[in-house]
Amino acid sequence: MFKSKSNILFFKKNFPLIAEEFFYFITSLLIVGAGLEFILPGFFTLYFNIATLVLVWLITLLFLLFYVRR
Amino acid sequence: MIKSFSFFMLSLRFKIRIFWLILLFLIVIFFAFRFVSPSGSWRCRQNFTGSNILLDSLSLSASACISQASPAERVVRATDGPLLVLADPIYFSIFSPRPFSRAEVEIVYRPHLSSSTPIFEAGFLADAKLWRYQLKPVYNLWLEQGFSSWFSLRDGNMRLFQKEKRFSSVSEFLSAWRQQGSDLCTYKNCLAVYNLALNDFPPALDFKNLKQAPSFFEFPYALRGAHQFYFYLPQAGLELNGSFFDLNDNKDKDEAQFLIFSGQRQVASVNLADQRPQAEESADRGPVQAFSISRSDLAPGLYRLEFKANDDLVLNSLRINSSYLSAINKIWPFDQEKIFLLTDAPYLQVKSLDPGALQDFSFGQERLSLSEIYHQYEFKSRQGGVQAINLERGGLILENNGVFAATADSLLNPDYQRLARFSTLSEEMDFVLADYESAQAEEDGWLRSRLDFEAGDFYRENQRYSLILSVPGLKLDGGAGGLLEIKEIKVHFYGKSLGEKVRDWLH
Repeated sequence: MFKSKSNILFFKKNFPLIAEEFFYFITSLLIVGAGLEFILPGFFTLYFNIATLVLVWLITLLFLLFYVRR
Repeated sequence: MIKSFSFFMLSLRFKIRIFWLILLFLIVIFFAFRFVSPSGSWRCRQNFTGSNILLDSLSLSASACISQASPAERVVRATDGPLLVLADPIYFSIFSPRPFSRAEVEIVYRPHLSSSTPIFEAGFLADAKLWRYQLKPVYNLWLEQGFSSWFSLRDGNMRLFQKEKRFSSVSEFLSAWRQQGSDLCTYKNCLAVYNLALNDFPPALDFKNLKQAPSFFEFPYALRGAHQFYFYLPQAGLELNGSFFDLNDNKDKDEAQFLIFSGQRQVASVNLADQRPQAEESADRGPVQAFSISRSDLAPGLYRLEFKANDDLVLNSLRINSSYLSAINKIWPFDQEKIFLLTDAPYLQVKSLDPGALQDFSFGQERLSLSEIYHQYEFKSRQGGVQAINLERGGLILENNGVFAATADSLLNPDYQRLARFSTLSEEMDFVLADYESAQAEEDGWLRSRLDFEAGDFYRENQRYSLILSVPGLKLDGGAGGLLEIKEIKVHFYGKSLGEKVRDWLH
């Protein structure tokens, strides 16, 4: 119980950092996907849904812009 | 304290970044691995029963390796049910990251076919220019149920049905037929085949009965688009000439090819590039272009001529040093005068792409009428034998599984009778030979069929192959009856593995 409480506290404290890095990851994934789609149309979308990825990217971006304060 | 706190933060950022960079790298490696397919194999699977409704409704699922069936109006899919095919044909596009040399298609289905729609076939697009699919049988109602009272033999995929038990094995029959041919028959044409070419076998007709004197024949009508012909050379040497012109209706360059085959072997080819100055899509016909093919090395015998071209080219004044010249399976006369043709098949499929070609015409003893364009009409004659076709003018596309000729003397069909959709199980048939693998029965009435294709020459566009499911005669208006339930389609492509490619490269 103490471990889960400290995990929650850790996550709450480092959430902006995790959100920021997650945004960079999604952006990089979209760039890799765009490159793959350019070379092999339809290959990346076989495994990832572009609309979902873009939605997640937008939500993360909005979150970073309006919620995360340095 | 503050110093140690910022170090901790830097360290944590570094750790997270390393983590997602490694994850991204693994994703790239995964895609590279799937693209290269080091094992030389690629699989696609689509199950039509049950689905993740939530993912589908929110469009959260990735795209499928096997696309949705098209045209959409020919299929219905219940929420948890199989795909229902209501009309023929339907198409799927199959993604593959690279070309492969072999494909295996497995279909789980329940056929609800009738005597009007007895055949279910599947295949891949082999020639995009001529829109030709390579089809293989999935289910044949006659072979599964129609010859239940006949004596049946099997040797691998070869199946022989005998009206009377005369042979005890398929190989014994094949050996006897190779030596004696139709002398084994009580009546002429006693052998019907399905999915067989029988190139190493005696032809269905006796060449000794054909005219052996040299003569010339000119096909009296202009023909539009690709055509194939049978002709017979009584003596060595081919003299073929004629002309063609370009309608310049479509946007593509209109190249033409003449190919001559003896059996399956190509013995001659002539390419005619489109170097005509008229612009495409201009409807400017330009001058008529003559051609002449002369080959003194061709031995006497039966040949097949293929005029490979798109629908913009019209073949005219085709003249050959043979008494026999018959169009195979399809003819599309272009002239605006009356057209008289003969065909040896008891049925006709007719389509018009031009409202100006709609007309009344006769087929056999029947008087028929076409009123819609882009609609395929089907007519079956009540009488057997050669049927006469009288058209008021050209423009109609006529198709069947027989041949078309301009005169009775020039009609030539060396093919064996095929067990096709409109075949009649005639009293004169003694044997049916088929290259056909029966479907495997599974629970609840489902059947599983497996088809193998040599995929090396299949057409592939934007990393996709085109797969067709065909049940000739199955229509939305339900007149012919029947439907197809598809539970699952699996496609497995095979090609050279990475090791084999490296070995080839090293050698």
